[in-house]
Amino acid sequence: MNIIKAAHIFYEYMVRDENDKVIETTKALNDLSLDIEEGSFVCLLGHNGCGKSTFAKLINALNLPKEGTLLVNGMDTADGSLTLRIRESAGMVFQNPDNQIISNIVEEDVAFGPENIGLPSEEIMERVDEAINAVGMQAFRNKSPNQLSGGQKQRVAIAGIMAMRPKCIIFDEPTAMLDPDGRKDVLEIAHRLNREENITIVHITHYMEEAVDADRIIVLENGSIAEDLEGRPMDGTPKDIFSKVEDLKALALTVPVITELAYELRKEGLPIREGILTRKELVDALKPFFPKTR
Amino acid sequence: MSIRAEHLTHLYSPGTAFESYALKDISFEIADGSFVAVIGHTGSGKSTLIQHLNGLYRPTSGTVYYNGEDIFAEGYDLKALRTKIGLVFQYPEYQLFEEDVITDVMFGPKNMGLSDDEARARAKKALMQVGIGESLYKRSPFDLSGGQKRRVAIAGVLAMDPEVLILDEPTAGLDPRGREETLAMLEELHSERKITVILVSHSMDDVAECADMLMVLKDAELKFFDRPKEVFRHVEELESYGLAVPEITYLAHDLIKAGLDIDPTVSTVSEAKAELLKLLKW
Repeated sequence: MNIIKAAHIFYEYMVRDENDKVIETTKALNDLSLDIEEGSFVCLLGHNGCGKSTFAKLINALNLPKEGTLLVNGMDTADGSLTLRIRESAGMVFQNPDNQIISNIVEEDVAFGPENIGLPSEEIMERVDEAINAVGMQAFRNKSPNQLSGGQKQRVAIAGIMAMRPKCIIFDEPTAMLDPDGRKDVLEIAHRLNREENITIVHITHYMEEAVDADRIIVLENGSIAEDLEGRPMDGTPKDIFSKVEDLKALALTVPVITELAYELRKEGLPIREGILTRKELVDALKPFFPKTR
Repeated sequence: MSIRAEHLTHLYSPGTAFESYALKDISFEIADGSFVAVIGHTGSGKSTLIQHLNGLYRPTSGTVYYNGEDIFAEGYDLKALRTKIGLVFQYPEYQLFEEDVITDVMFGPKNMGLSDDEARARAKKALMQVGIGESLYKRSPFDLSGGQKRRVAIAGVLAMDPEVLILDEPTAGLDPRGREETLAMLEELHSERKITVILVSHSMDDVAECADMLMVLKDAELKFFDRPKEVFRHVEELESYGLAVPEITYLAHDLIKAGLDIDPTVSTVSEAKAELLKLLKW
């Protein structure tokens, strides 16, 4: 079952002058078609301006496609009567943690969504408990969000979305403003929600290392799925995508450092396989070539 | 010529129940023309430290010497110091405000009392150094991409022709190309303009590539101030500070455990490649 189905979607941004005349049009999405399977962990990669965030906003029905159809959990985002239900099933976490917190107390912030859809208070309490537990913020539930670190604030933002019991969460660069610890926390929670709660994760990031454990990587370029140097779509497992080092560089992207080192060694003629992603994989691949005597 | 900190201490809310150290007895000397990276966990004092170096914060005790002069001494011209020690804050693009790119970059030099023509010449040179072409001069800074905005903001500081450039996480939030370009630009400024660069960073991999000295802060204290390679020897201590060594250094340690006699301090892809090509047999 596909939770997200995009068929030939287009989206444009227009720059207007002071007389409201359109002076520039940018095609942010250009005939993008892709399906995302329920329960999967998908990473969207691409340089700034490739259309990643535009697509994320379309999934959440914050913007509507100019052409084409986008179905989220079987609902057409163009149908205004479904907008709220779409946002319940596909929640979104943004880059800046400070822009997403509204209450003075963590648990009130998490309760905002369920309160807003008019649930009875027992159910709100139950959902808030569950959501705060899911992100490991029990010890902070009565604290003020302004005493939290960036990573902790992102966890509160995720809890706020979990309280809506979504089927899918879109993470739009949630780690860009965090330090390494905070980044690790947020990523671990995303993976746990995917594994344990079967929530579909669409993770947009500029950190290649964060894509290594995804089920699937989709690279975007000029508003549609990027092509490799041989014209095949850049859509596959991390192993497939990170084997294409030259193709990624041509798209202004990089590969994880371990993958880059393995690739450099291969280029020098060392017969190791393509698409090595982790330190352990690289150590295992290099072992046969260790000198016999020390 | 140097920046020298002596027993620099900054106490928040002294005398109250909330008293806490932001900096505790920090001493170091940064030689002219070096490229220093400052690394530390969030809240370790990095940002507080760099704001003492150009006199934005006053220490509770201790002081900073710039070229041998105590910058907190009475009568020292802090305003002039701030044109010599340029500070680029985190997310500097939020500080752009003029109607077009060139005017924004001219703001600093004009504020120093330079004429329009001089300010424009300085701005053009600075914009060239950060890779912003003339076609963007008349654009509103708010219409630029994230990476471009960041570079315009850095140009605004460069236009004051500083002797020292301090940057607080200049690559945060940029895409991979933006990160690479920003770091390459800093290395170029450092080698060509002979500017002293002080870079606050969270990325050990970036630091391994470009810094020649590394300062590690932990809970307001200076724990290491040494060449990056020497610092990276202390894996366990760094980890106990909530930091890590570069991924390549971890790999070297894994390879040693697996039985390869490789230098445990390699920290970049090119170093590891050279070492491995020497050691491996096929």
